[in-house]
Amino acid sequence: MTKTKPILSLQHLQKQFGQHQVLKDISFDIQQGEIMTIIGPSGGGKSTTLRCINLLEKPTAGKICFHGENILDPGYQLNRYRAKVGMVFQQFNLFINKNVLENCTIGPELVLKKSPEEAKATARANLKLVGMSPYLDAKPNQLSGGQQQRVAIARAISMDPELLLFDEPTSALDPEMVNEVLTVMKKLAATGLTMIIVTHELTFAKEVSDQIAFISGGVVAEAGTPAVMLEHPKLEATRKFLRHFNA
Amino acid sequence: MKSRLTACLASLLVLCSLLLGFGQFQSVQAAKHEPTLKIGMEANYPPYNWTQTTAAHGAAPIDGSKQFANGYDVQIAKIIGRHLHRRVVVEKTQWDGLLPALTSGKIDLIIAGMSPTADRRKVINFSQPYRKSTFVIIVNKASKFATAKGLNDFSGARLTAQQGTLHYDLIKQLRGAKRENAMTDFSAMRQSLQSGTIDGYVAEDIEYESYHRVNKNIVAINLSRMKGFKVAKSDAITSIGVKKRNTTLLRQTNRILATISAAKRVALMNAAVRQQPRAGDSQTKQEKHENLFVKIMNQYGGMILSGVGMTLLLALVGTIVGFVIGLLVGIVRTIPTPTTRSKRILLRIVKWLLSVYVEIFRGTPMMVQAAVIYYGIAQLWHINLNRTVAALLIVSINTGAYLAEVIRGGITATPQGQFEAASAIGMSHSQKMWHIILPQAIRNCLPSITNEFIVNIKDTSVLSIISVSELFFVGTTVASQTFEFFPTYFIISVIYLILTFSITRIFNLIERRLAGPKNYDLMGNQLQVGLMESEIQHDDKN
Repeated sequence: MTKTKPILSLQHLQKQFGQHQVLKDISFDIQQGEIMTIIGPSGGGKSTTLRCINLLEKPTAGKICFHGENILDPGYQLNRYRAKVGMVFQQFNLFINKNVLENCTIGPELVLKKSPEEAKATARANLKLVGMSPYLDAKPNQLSGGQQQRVAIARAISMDPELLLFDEPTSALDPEMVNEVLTVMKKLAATGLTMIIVTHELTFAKEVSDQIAFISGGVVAEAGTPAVMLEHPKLEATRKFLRHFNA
Repeated sequence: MKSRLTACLASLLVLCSLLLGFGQFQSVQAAKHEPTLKIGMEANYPPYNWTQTTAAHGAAPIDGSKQFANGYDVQIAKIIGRHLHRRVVVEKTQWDGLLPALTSGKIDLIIAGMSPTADRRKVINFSQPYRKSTFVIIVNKASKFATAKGLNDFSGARLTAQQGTLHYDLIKQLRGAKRENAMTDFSAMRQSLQSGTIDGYVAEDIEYESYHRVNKNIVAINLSRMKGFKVAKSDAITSIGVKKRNTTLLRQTNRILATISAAKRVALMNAAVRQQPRAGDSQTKQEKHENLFVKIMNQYGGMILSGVGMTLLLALVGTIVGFVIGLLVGIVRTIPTPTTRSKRILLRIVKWLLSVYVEIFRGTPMMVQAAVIYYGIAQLWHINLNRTVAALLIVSINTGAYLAEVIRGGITATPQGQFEAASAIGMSHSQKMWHIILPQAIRNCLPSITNEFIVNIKDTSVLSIISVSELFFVGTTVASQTFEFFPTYFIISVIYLILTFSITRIFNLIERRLAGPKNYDLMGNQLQVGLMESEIQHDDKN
């Protein structure tokens, strides 16, 4: 298998909270344009892995290389890195003091130093993409969960990221709202954006992913293409996990 | 929204200065050329010294106000001033503040009916006496103590005297008497005697002479002539206090006092007893009750309004500056631990200093802070702070200490997700704080900030200790001049209530505005759904 240089490479990542070792040894590569889905049981380290990639948690050991550079090196321009790596949260985390449009313009204006006009134009286009154009002036607390999550996605892509992280984006949503968010994510997948998605939506994962990783007990237990991972997993643990969803 | 808030605050400030204009800053303009002789006195101890609103009977101006002081002390001061070619200015100071005011150089002389006791002599020098006193106990005519003849006849009597005076210690010689808490001034003692909360108070004969002119129902029992009554010679005289190092002024004062004959002294004292303020004794009782509130407002309305202005100014500036201090301290105290070692140590030192600041100013009464800062700065570094400036400074740093904790609480109460979302976009700490966290934190803190503002309006009354003429101080002055305690303090309390009530309303309004729309009715936006296409083409509309 010939591989180009990966956009992001995790090497033997470890994370310890006090005495509790959440991540024991996480390693994987993701190529430009690839979509990777992370599945696994609760408490297995999926979200922590994702939060380590964006340095919302500081790893205790290991390397995270972005375009070959270790972001954990002292003196690395962390805020510039974060501007290139977007994140969509389980709880949306929209800025509740800002309206929908401002949520999408504040990052580009403050961090990317774009002009207000340019930021607004991009934001409007992205909000149209997620179907939130009618709600530009609405405050987050006036919106439903699904609507808030779509705004959060628009906010993330307004930063024009190279890599987009999704931390269980549909877990906090009522079932009827899950699809509107997944539809938006499929649209994004089609644009060729590199994405890492932590999710329990296996049908969706099968449809969009290039590779699926099964993280359990703080290690990448098994990884592969959707066909292999979902139809013929090697490990008993993976099979057992999948059975919950097929039952 | 922000500009409207600013406009609102600005207009409040203008209001303050307008109100202040009713009283302040006009008097001291006249005849500035002669050097001044600053005299410390209570201006609330007739007939030695009192406050009046006009310059009648050769009164001297009170510094920093439109009022005047007069009385025996003032007349003595003017004789000294005339000989020294210095213009007499009265620094109206509370009794307990007189010694620190002198030692810190805020005044040149104490002429306040003060006796040169041994304790006081340790701190300051005293001139030759300018009056000899007789001690009496003033009781109601109807009281069973009115016929007391000896030191043993006061068993069970509730007696008091002025705080920090020799009079109060004299009560100990009256066997069986109950020594009630000392009071701050004679107006309060007169009021207590009249209302029956005390049976009598120790004073000088001259206090009896004065009070008897307005209240015929009292008698004086001469203590000085009682068998076994002991008082040091120095305690039975009244002298002028001079700073220890200032021997020239002491010599000059003694020389001038020697030129005032005994007859002249008696004449001056008699004039003072005649001229001292009286509680409207010319009016019938009925008239008095009809017009009491109107009378007070007519006569002292300007003074009270200027007090309102000062109180508002102190509370407003104190709260705003305190808010800014609190904001900065709150931000610094929530900075996450930096990565480099030197920055980490620096941050730890700064945070430690800030928590010391918060602890000290939250942990001591503002009244004590005022006394320490106002007199302390003058005594240690010889910097003579303007009273108003000192008051503003004290209220601001005191409020800052409280609001620092309030804002820190507001910041930590902001959901973690807001910090994370802002970090994930790549915002720096200050961008995060300024654009995302603080707007939310401040909105959540607003009820506490309103609270602090209201507390400030009321608590600035403790600044009367450094004689700032805010509402309470003005109220005390009016009450002691009119002897109408209830109506005066009733007016003052109504004013306080109006102030705090309107401020609560204003802040509730601001709070509701900041909270933003709570409805889920997006009709306006629903309309846009139809217009969506055209709206997107006219991007630059908003």
